[in-house]
Amino acid sequence: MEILSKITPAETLLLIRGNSVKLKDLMKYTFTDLLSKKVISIRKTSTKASVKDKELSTYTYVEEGENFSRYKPKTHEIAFLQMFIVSPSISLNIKDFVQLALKAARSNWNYKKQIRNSKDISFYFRESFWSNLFGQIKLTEKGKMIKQRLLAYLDGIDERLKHLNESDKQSLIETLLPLGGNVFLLNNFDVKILKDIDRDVFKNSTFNTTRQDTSGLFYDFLFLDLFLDFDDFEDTFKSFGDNFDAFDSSFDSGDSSSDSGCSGCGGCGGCS
Amino acid sequence: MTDQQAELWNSIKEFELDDIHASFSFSDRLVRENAWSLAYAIRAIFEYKKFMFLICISKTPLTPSDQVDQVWHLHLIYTESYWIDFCQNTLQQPIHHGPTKGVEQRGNFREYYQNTLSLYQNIFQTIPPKDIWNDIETRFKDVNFTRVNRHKYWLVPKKLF
Repeated sequence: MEILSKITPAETLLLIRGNSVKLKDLMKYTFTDLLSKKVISIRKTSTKASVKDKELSTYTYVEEGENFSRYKPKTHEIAFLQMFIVSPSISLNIKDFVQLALKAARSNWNYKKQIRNSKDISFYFRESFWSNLFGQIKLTEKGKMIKQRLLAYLDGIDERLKHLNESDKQSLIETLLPLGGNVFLLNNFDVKILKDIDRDVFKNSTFNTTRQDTSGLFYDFLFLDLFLDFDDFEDTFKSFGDNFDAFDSSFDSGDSSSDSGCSGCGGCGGCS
Repeated sequence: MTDQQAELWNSIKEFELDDIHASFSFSDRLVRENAWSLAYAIRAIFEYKKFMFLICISKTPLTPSDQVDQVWHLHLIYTESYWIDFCQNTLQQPIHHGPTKGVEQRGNFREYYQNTLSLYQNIFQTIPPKDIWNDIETRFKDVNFTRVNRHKYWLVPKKLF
């Protein structure tokens, strides 16, 4: 299904779930998609959080990926990339990265509008004064048709994944790879499936040719390194969700930072 | 940048000022004390690291922008992080902060600041971001800062009147 190789998982989600899709999911899958395209990358390092610590702590950083400079982001992806555009080669702690992306998204409705206005899908949506006023996503007739087609197609792949056997793997990979980051939307997709497959199988795949997606990015192969580093990927994906929950809830409650240290010197912890 | 300089820059770049276990981190404090956005504070920290690297490789004195200076001041308060972790273990040399001694030094600082901007551009092959590295006139004009208790006072910009 050609459209899936052109649209991001956030765009797919908005088409198939419309109003019910959560900001967290839209952002989480956008993050994953950018990672898989190597527009951003993850670096982990172990260091002492403070001089006095005896144990090392693991810090996870988000940085520019190898395809960052040639990637043309869609509007809803800029929330994740803004800092790297303004300050090239900066490293962001994943906690800060999520918080900044969430602030840049501004609101659930604003982020959905950014996705809806993408030139690859905007013609599937009906926009009116009232839908904008009440923050409603409305599909055109053409939009409703593509939604049904997308659902049927993804369900079909999900069904194949459910009853996957060894001989199916090669052909399945050729089905999965053009989906790009949309593979993460499949209920039965498990990155272990690809991890178990010999790297040579990927090399022999007919999709192992340089191709261009709608963003103008050239890349040799989706996901390969990401999947081979499966454990790290799972951790990162979880970490993004956890951080998102932390900031999203503090946004809702209007909680602001406050320091519980002493007032004398702006919160010193004493000397030793 | 030589290989040795690149190695040093990499160590400085990877130096972490935020304690991930702290609920109120270095960057949180920088945000609060300067009324900056988090994005701006994180960028200012990055520019501070660049400045410290430039100091390490420069043969002449350098002067930071006011924003970078605020990051430096705050880092100096975290004495163990600054003196042991940063200067001793990362930079492998002590870097002392020297506040101005008065108007007689003003000319020197203007020259040092100009040198800093030139060295920055030469080493990092990019123009220092103008919102963190002000032009030389603004750098030495916008210096009239006061610590204000915001529970007792409102802050109203003069340009409104």
